[in-house]
Amino acid sequence: MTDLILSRMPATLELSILSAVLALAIGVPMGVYTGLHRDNFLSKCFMTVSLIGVSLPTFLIGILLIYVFAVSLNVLPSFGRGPTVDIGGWRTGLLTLGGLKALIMPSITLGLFQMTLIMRLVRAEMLEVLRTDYIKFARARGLTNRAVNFGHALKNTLVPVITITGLQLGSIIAFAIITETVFQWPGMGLLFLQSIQTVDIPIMAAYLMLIALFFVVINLTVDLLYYVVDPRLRIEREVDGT
Amino acid sequence: MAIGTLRRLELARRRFLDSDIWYSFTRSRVTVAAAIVAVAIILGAVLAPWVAPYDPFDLASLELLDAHTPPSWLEDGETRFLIGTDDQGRDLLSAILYGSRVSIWVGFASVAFSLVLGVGLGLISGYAGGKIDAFIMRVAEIQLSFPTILIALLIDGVMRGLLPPDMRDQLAVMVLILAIGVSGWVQYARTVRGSTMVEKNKEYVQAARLIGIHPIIIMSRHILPNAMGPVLVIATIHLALAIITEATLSFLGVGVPATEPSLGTLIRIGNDFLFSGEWWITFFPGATLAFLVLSVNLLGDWLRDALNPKLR
Repeated sequence: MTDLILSRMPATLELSILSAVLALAIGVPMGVYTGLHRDNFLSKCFMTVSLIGVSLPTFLIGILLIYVFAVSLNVLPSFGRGPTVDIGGWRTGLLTLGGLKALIMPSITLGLFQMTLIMRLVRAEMLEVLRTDYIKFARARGLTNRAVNFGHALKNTLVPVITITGLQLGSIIAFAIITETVFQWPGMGLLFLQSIQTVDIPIMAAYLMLIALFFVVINLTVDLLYYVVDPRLRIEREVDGT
Repeated sequence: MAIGTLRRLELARRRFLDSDIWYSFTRSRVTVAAAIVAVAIILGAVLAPWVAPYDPFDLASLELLDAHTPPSWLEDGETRFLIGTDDQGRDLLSAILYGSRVSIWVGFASVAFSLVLGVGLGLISGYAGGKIDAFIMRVAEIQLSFPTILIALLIDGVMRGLLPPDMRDQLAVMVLILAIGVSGWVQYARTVRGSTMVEKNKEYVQAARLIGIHPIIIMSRHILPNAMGPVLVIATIHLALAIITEATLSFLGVGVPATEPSLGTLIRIGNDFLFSGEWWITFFPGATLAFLVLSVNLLGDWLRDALNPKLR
């Protein structure tokens, strides 16, 4: 049974990590932009898109993408991982062109919800931080816009962003159940769903334990990252400790 | 007597039209549009037996020859079936009306279940304090660390395992309501616990305790009305989430059985025929679901802002 779950793990992890990277790489810049230019036309477009992204169920986005890119345009595969390469027991789809192509649609489907969430969070935090006195002071000192916006403002929004993103990474692995069903992706989520349909309690239990382990590891990593991002925490520790 | 009641109703109506809530509602065009869409879909669902052109559950009236008919404005479309038929020859418009009935019923019922469970546990937790509070809150935190959909899937899976196979389809809707309801109580409990802890120390509660009113009456009659404001906002946003969760579970094939299709079940059926170019079986139920959830979400956002005194 361990083999059963472990053999499926690489597929789910590759998909989840790629979606998380995608969500961060697009969500954070969009959030910063909409935070800086509140009433801009483009920001309003982003906000509307994000509202639709929150309201559309994940599986519907997947079906929509399949219909457009697999059925109508016929440019991307609609199911499976494509050709994979075996590296020391880890079957990866990242090294072949077909494998990468197969990853595009599932990772967009899985990452879209988290992307809109991260964007809204970064926007709200930016609006909050930009009002504070030290930002006004930094501008008064004549720092460039870039230094103020990214060096001062964005850096101070990072603590809540990291907290939420960490929690969301855990739910990405859980939401993968839906995406894996839509795209027939041979990962752990599909296995879990099949075990629910056939009422296979041992596999359900093992999967849940594994998810719990992921959550614990992710939360620990998030707690450690606070020290990297926030120098105030480091100073406190030095004062207390040595 | 009758005149007195009428007059009171008239006064209540005037007071409502003068209120801040009604004012901010009429001022926001998006909210009015969202309310119209939501009410239209809910009315269509509730009145489905009278509005729908066909009865999709009447197996005798289904003709397999009518199956896979495209929408009426396309080639091969028939005016009898305005937006086409599914794989069994069911009229899609009727199936959607009856399907949203199932979706909305499950949505409202599971929100009501979460609300009663969460508000009750929150009141007890906040009022009793001590070990009971610690126990309820630890359970809530454990549940909060797993995503909602996973909890709902798990409860659904275990319940189906416990039921005898011939009962599964019959009780599927009840199991679904239970699963979605249990997965959502934490939000209510935490909010109500917070406001209960604030209200508990105010004079009117102390006075009520002093004259010997039973704690259950204090909780339900005295504290509860003062803790309900935020609960309403959570319930609206939770309704959208519950409808999405129901659709997702049905889409995954562990929700409502195909004999009594909800919107999610219809989308799953349509998904099988997507590759033969029959987009309408998926598209129309999907669009109905999206519009319903979007308008409920917009109403929730508006209610949150309207009830927030900071933003006035």
